[in-house]
Amino acid sequence: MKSSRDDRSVRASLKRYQVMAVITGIFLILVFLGVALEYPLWPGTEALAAGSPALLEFINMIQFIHGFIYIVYLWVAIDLWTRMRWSLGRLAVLVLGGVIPVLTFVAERRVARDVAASLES
Amino acid sequence: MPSSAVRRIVIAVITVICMGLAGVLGAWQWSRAQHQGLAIDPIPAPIHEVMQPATLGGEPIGRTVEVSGEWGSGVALIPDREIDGDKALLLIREFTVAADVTGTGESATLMVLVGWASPEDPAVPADLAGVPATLIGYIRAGEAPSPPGVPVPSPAVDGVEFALAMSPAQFASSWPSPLYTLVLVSPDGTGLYTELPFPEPQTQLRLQNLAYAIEWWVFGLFAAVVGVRMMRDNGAQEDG
Repeated sequence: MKSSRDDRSVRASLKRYQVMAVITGIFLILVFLGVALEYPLWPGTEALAAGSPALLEFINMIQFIHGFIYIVYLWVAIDLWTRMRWSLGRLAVLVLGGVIPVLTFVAERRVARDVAASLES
Repeated sequence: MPSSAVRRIVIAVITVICMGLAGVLGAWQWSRAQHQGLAIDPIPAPIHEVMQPATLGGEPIGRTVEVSGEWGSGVALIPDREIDGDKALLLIREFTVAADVTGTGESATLMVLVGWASPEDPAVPADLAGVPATLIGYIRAGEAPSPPGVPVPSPAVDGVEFALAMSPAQFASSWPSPLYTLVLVSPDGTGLYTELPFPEPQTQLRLQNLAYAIEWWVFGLFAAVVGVRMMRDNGAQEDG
């Protein structure tokens, strides 16, 4: 049984996780697009971004920022995971959600649904 | 309860392994950051601290070095190159490193890339043979020798040798040995040619490795947090 105060802190934790999930998900797609531009898509061809140092620098910056965003994402994900007393399997989904594009958004939908269900019960 | 004790031990062992792994990976990135920091050190090092004649080694590439001696008579032009998108003819010169700075006690020959010119109208490089100089430049890799049988174009500049590759190995037969295996890029001795653009310091790369190191260590801390939570109440649902 949880008090309403616990509920509030879980809701706040969920909100933090959701915000970070959206940011991380967007950055992750940008990182993957960047990799597709940075390296040749086919052996023997030239990378699409090869001719543009400014674009390569931008891609590098995105990757750099993503590293730190991922740390914040992990922090809020572990916080929510702790509050919900979830199992290790759920943590694995959360961790991978910051690494596999689109999975972030799928995981976020499911987490929000499960937390809501658990708060209602 | 023995099963819960076993569970705790397993969690503790896995946690320690994860932390150790993150720690090692962080340390590796940390050393890479240090190494690359060294590689772009703008303070020139004496050449004997950085490389020895006739010795292979890719370590000091990008290092700034200072070297004194005198220009030799060897001059060569490398055709068909590009500098910032312009067609370029590279000018390399023979430099005799003074015996007291090589570290081996005898003088040695260094290939110096001094500048470039448009292939349309290259000037005749000044004859600097015997002129003493102290060069400050940076080290770059030499090139592989050009394959035998490839025709070398006839010189567009009177009396200057053409070579297809900036290869110390290839010049070892015509320039006095011992020859350094790496090439110095120097703005001295450029004359009527254009100085080569100095490479931008790769500070970003270094910062990146530093960030990766910190990130790995933070991951290690996260593993500790998760391990402790696992021992307390996370995953308790499966037990009860």
